[in-house]
Amino acid sequence: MSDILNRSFEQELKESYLLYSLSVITSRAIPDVRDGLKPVQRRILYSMDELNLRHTAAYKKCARIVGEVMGKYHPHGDAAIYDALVRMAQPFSLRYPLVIGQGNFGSIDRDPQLQ
Amino acid sequence: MRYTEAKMHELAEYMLMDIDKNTVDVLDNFDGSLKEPSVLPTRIPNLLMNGVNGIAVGMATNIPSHNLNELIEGIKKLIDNPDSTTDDLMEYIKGPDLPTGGIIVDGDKLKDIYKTGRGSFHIRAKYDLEENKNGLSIVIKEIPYGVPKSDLITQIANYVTKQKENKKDVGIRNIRDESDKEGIRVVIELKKNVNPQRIINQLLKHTSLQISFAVQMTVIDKRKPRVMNLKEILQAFIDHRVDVVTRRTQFELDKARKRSHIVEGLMKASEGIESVIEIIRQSEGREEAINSLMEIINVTKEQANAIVDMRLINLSKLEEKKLEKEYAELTQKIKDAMEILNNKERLFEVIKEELEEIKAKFGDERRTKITNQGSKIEEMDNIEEEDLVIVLTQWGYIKAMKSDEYKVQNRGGKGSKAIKKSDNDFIIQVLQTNSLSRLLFITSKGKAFELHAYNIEKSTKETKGKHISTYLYLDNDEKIKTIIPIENEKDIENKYIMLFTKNGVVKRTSLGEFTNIRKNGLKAITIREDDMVVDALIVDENDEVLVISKKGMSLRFRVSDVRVMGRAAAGVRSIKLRENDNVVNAVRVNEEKSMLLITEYGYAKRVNFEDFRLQNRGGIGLKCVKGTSRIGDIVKALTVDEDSHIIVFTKLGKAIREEVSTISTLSRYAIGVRAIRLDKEDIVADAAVVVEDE
Repeated sequence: MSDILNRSFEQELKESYLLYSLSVITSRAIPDVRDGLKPVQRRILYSMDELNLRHTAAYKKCARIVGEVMGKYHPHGDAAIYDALVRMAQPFSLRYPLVIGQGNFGSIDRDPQLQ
Repeated sequence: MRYTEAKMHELAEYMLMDIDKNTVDVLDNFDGSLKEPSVLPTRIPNLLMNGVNGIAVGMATNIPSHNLNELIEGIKKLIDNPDSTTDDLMEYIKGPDLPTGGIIVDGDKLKDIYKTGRGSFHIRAKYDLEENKNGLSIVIKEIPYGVPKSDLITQIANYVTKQKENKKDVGIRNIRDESDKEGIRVVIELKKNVNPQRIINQLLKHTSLQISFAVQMTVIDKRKPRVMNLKEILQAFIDHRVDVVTRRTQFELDKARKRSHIVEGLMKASEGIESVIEIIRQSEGREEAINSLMEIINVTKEQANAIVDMRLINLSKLEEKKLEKEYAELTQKIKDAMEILNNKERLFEVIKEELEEIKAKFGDERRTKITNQGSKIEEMDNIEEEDLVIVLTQWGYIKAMKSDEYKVQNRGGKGSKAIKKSDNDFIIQVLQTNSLSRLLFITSKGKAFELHAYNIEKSTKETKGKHISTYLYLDNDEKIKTIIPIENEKDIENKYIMLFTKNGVVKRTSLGEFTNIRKNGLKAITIREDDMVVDALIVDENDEVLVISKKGMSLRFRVSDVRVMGRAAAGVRSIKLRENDNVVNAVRVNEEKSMLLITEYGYAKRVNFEDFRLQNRGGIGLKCVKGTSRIGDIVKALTVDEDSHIIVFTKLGKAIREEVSTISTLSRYAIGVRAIRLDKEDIVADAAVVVEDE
């Protein structure tokens, strides 16, 4: 316990919050101009590619995909990853869906997708 | 996620294609145990194609989706001409194309959004009116993007309930959601005898039937967030493609070269296969065999390695041919790759070919319609349907008064006026109409404007109202000649507007041609530079009109004598004028009333309409006074009753009021009596029938 540093509360908050906001900007909410994807979307697609989930292949449980993404690349909640996956399959959310869903993927009436 | 399954759409595969060819930089994952791509080598312009919405700390992004065909055409344009402007790009990229369709109503705002990367536009639901035995229904077929349909229906229902609490009836009987797998279909049944447009306008205003989309194209560019415009985003995509294709080609080139090197060695080996076998047999082990091969038949280590791994079957003639074929293919591949890497034109060609392929495979029709009708909703819903009196003055001031207020004043008797008499301004037209009616304004320059009565500021008797130019875009010297109220669009069937010009032209046009007039007006007649419209009358097919000239000529003819012409036509001759003569104005013949003529020097008389014989249009006409040298030019002809009052305006700014009953009815030839007392030098400039005071 010898590593305790004395810092002003104000200073610590300022720096931590700045770091946090930068991280939110660059690695969560804002897309890259080149591929138009947020990190979670990119990780989902990359994982699906690694799982060989081509459009000609058989469907796989979303849990498999979410697990792959969460375990390998995206250290965040499973619900967030699943919601991002579902959105990519909704033809009323994406002009050109990137994922084909099998099952209840929600509706334009805001009915929730199956969990 | 327990119950649902998923796989990639084919489109996504085109975003990941070539990812294993060193096309993108990779990063460590969170614990450094794996690598993940920093970006996908996408062939698809996904950012603008699917759009994005995200909120970060202190910044947000909101990009609408676009049509793939249009995007690809725009990108190709920018590749071909890197100096393309936003306008150039918008020739192809017309605007956002949302998954849920709808209508973008302010297309004129898009250019600014694409130029700056920010701004907002409005999306409106697409609806139709359907009629069946139960009456009219509004049927919503597409809803604005991002609005859950069930929320929209709840909003509409809540609005109806709320209005009911305020004792207002929206006019909606029932709402039903008939949507199915074919698409959206929300049916709003209307009550009998309601104005559907008015109801739609209320819903557009108070529910999400119309929403605003705030664009903010914030993206990460070179690891930093910033707002980019359309051109920058497309350019970033092109740069990315250049990068990916270059790296992919380099990767393939390296691979082909490596293989070609091996194949060269194998070919060399099969040429001198006897000595190769000999060398291997003589060798102690693999190491020695390789070293000897390198020395004796002069191959590299990689080649020697491949030779010792060669299977015996490769010595067959067929396999030998295969090697030669492979070598030729590799040589071609290397040549192609070098060309792509060394020639920018060729590189762009490859990029464009790949875009074409995507377009052919995934391109589709645009779903969202773009119009310029504007997002502003006519505030008809706040308008109580009520009777109004619209008052227009000589100097162009206009106001609206509640009709009951106006009546009370009239009954009140002494001195009550509809308008404050200042600057010698007097009312020239008073209309009793409805707040929802459409008013048509005809100007001296032959233009037509429209304004709904409720747009005119309501005021009391004391105020003089606002100048007409606050409502209409008039030229400085342009004056309103008449206002025509249209309460029911059906009323204008079989009605005509007749325009009379100073130089003796008359023109008849169907009133029905004057609908949907834009703010800067509509041409009602093509008029010569030196001519102007002096009068406009609303007439029926069976009416007759009487045209009066300033030198005292008159011509009575049938409306049917003037054929109906289009809006922009120039018209025909009404009366043949002598030199220096002009048409003063025209009146509709009404034999129950009489005509009053007034001249510059203040002479006036009344004449019966019967004294004017019906003639053919275009003639010289009849004299309506013996001569004008002593009494001055005719200033105005008015249709009057026995108890009418008239107002005479003089050139020096005086307004003199006269009772019509004091002016005698005389013959057509008579010069009349001096009815108006004028100061020296002053002359009569204009006259009008008093329409309000008691």
